[in-house]
Amino acid sequence: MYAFDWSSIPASLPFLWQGMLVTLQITLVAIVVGILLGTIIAVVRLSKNPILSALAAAYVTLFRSIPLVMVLLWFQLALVPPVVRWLFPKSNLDLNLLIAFTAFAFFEASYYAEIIRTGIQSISKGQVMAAQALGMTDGAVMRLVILPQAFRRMIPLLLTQAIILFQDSSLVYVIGLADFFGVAKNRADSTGSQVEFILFAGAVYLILCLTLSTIVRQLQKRIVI
Amino acid sequence: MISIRDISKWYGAFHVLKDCSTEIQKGEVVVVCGPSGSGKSTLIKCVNGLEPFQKGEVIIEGTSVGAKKTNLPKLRARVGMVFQHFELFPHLSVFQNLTIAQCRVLRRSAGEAEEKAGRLLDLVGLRAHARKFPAQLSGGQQQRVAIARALAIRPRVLLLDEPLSALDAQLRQDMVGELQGLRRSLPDVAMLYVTHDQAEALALADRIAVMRDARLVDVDTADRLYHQPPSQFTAAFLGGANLLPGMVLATTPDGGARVQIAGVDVPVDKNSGFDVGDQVLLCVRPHALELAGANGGLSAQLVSAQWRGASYRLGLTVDGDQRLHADVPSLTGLPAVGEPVAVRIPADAAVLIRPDVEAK
Repeated sequence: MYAFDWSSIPASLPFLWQGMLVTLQITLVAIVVGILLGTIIAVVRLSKNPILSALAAAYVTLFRSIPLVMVLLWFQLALVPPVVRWLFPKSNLDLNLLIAFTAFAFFEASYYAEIIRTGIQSISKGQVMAAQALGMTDGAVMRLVILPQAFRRMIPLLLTQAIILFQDSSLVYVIGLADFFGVAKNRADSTGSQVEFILFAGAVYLILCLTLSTIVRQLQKRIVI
Repeated sequence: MISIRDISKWYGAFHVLKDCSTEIQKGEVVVVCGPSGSGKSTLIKCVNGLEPFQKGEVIIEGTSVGAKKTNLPKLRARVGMVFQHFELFPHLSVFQNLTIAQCRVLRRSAGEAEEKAGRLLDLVGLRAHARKFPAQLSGGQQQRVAIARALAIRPRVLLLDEPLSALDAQLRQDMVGELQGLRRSLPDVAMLYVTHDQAEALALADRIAVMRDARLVDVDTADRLYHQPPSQFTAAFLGGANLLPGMVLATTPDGGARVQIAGVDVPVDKNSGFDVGDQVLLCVRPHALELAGANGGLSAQLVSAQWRGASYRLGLTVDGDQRLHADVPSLTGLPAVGEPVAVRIPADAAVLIRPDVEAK
């Protein structure tokens, strides 16, 4: 029978915490930028301009049709480094972190855009008419009436997507970035306690995701709109 | 103040509005009344441009609603609207529902908007509920907030799209009284009110526009449409008149006529220009019919009696198939259901209508 040896883990906790910070940074940036960009894409997709709408639809289709690993590699090999070199030729930016931020933000934006589009469309025409009847412009109707209601309805879906994103962030190992999972894997290789580190990392992901899922369930019960 | 001129709207071959025209003056209440699906709600939404239309023109205080150069949001800021299902913003409190357009559309200061919102909540009796959200209010309270919200922009024109139809019967009656009070407090506001309820129309209207199959078929004062309906449809729709087919037997020098109804000679005080031999419909309201025991009028059979609290509605047949309704305060002295009864039509309560006036 396999004899577990957990002794390497306490000494690795500071490294794992550093990795967790990277994971949380990627998750947070991707959520914030993804939702902002996703909102713009969703609004553009619902616009009356057929060209803009088609472009927004193409963006969503493109990113939702490609595996995230491939997006990360594209951003690393072809997109981010040349742009950064062009924009900031003398900078010492952490390129891998920047690649992770941008790849996740652009990738998640396509998923958030679909959630937000559905949320916007769930608001009744009567609400839109009531806002227009008060003299609001289309922009004001969207900003003051539709989006605030839509976001309340979307919170559970947005958080569920955030949980998926948190888990998917472990894929950054393909661009050589040491997030929580990457650090755990490195420590596992260097200490020889592979099973223990993978189990420990899995337990951390499980606890965090279960906690977030519980919050989502509670929110679903409380959101009445 | 509002001029609706030959408005038409269609989807392919299906017309939802056909050449609708009417005018609403400052301080006037015009009620568009018609059965469900006749196009009333579409018409009222065309007035402030919420629904586009293909033909015709709507002019509000000199501004054409359908014109390309018209700034619709600016125009709508002068036109309050109350919707059938209230359409309060559920994410905002009652107070915020009343201040949002004032602050964000009319650019009033927060202080001014709040002061106005407070006064309107006093007017509709909901000051104590200002911090609540719409979901925490009853249907009647929500509708009051919706009315206050429409008034918060200090509109010159008020559009009300079946504002009471989502409420229960008792509440509807109470709200009709409140709307009458509101109307008195807004003497300069032109109101266009849509309803399928003829009682609401009669209670609130200066003029009623009867709508049928996408057309405004009759537009006149409530009193004239009720007492001298110009068409068979309006007679039946407003007040549920009895319509008995007959023929003019003679005209009288004092402006009356004698009409043969089911073989009986019935005098009518007012002849509306019919000649001897004309086929007519004799229109008489259920409450005006008199039941005269076994003799002295049209021979009828009592087929049903429904108690309605304050009165009974009787179902009668004349000549075996023509159905009449009569409202009586009590069944005392009347024959039992299934027995014959004589129906007398008071000469001053009957109006003659040409059958072919009915809208197509």
